[in-house]
Amino acid sequence: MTARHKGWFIFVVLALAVVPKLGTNPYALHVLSLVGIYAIVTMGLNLVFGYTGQISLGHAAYFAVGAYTSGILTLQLGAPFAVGMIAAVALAVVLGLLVGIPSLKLEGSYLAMATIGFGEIVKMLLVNWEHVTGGPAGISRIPHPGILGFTFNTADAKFYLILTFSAVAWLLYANLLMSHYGTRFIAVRDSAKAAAGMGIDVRRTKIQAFVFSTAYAGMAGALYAHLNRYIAPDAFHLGESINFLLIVVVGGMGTLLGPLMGSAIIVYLRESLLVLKDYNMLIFGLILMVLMVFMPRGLVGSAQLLVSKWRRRRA
Amino acid sequence: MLTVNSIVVAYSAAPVLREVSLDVSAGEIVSLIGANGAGKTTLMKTLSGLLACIRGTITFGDRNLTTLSPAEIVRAGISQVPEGRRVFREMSVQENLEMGAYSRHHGADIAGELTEIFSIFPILRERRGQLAETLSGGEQQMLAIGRALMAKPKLLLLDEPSMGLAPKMVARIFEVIAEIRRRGTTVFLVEQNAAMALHYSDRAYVIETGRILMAGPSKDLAGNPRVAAAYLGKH
Repeated sequence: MTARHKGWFIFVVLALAVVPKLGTNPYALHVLSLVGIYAIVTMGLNLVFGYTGQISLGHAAYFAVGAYTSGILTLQLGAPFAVGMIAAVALAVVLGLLVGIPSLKLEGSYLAMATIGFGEIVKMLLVNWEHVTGGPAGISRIPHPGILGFTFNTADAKFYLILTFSAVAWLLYANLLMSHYGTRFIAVRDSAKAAAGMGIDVRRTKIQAFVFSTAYAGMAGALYAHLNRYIAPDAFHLGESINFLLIVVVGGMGTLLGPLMGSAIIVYLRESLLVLKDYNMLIFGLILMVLMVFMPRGLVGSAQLLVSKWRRRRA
Repeated sequence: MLTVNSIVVAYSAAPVLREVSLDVSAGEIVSLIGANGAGKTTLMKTLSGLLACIRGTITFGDRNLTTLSPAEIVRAGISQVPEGRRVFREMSVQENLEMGAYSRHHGADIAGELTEIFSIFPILRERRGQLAETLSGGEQQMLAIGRALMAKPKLLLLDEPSMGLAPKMVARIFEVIAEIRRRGTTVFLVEQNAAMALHYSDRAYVIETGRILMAGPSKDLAGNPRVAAAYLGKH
């Protein structure tokens, strides 16, 4: 990362860090925390979908795996939050490898079907493995997260915890993509054949992107479980997987900041449209259509296009 | 340098290459001409390790290529320019070239190699910051060739370098191929444009329905009445 990138990064994190000090109400902080969680999931998904060009319609399942793993370990076995988090990421990685290795031989709609299949399997498991997952009723009263004796039991504290996780997640993701190593993903997306001709292991690259993304989904899932303190299978259906893809597309596929902007706008829209009750999905859909017609490259992609046009005109 | 010894390659059950043999010596330009569906691209894919042969062997120097992965073949010194160019559309010209050096270890003399490639293709230097998708077809072909050269290959494989290009650009590409050989890289190319391929290569093979039909110095083949009628449009 260049000094300018670092400067902006520190500025944004500090700006977000003062938000709770401005007398922001707990609900608004909860929504902002959700934005952070969605941003983590979609950073990973952007690597798979935006950069490597592989679709996944099963990421809600990895999100669920993370949420249930940490939720169950901390609630039923009294494990500390750190253990729950590590186990959540580890299980998401293992399942990512297990699904990714065979499915990434497929492409396009076939890969979409395979990942939907995995999503459905996980959802059935959550509903039917009742004595572990709590069945359709889910798990409630998941403990507040705690690290080294400090308990994050207020909206402020949770916001800071999630801000820290999202900031570190973004650093790792941005560093990976800006490195020499990161260009492999774009090469595979633009032309798998030519990438193979350059000596890139195409299959391995796809699997690495996928497993990176499942690790992120698992991490975000664990945060979600401890933020909400209640999880149920309803929150992890196919619609949620589509929602993640939507965030990547609306934010800007294959752009570093796309997942952040996409998460902010989608989470905010969903929350603010709830007052419309039955009509909320109608308006949500309309807004999405308008966005995609006028900004086909997403918020960040379209903004980048505008800036480069403006620069060219000045030059 | 490259020896292909009676290889058989098939898609599921149907053989596409039947006992194909050919060889390329260091410093040569060798072309393979044939019609659509004759097996030219299949041979290229086999040479670059994307397809496996059922029988036969391919050796490069003293190495057996038949068991190597595409990445290992690139490292062994064979780069290919795929059919239809396939540049990385959303990368800049310079980033495309740098990708070409991907297989070389870090700290390799990439800057020196870039200078060398810009001296062969001055237009790429002018366009180095532009996205590859904004280049013309001919420029993209030059970029694809430049990208393959970044790996510092001993042998360059070109799959239909003239495809989809205007006649003037085709001539320019073949001049570049001659220049690349002068600079020390051996070239093996497959072409439908037989006239150009025979004009610029030292030796050639004619392939039809998966079999090598004729072989010899390009000049002799160009003068052969059967080749003239079938591939050069002369009756």
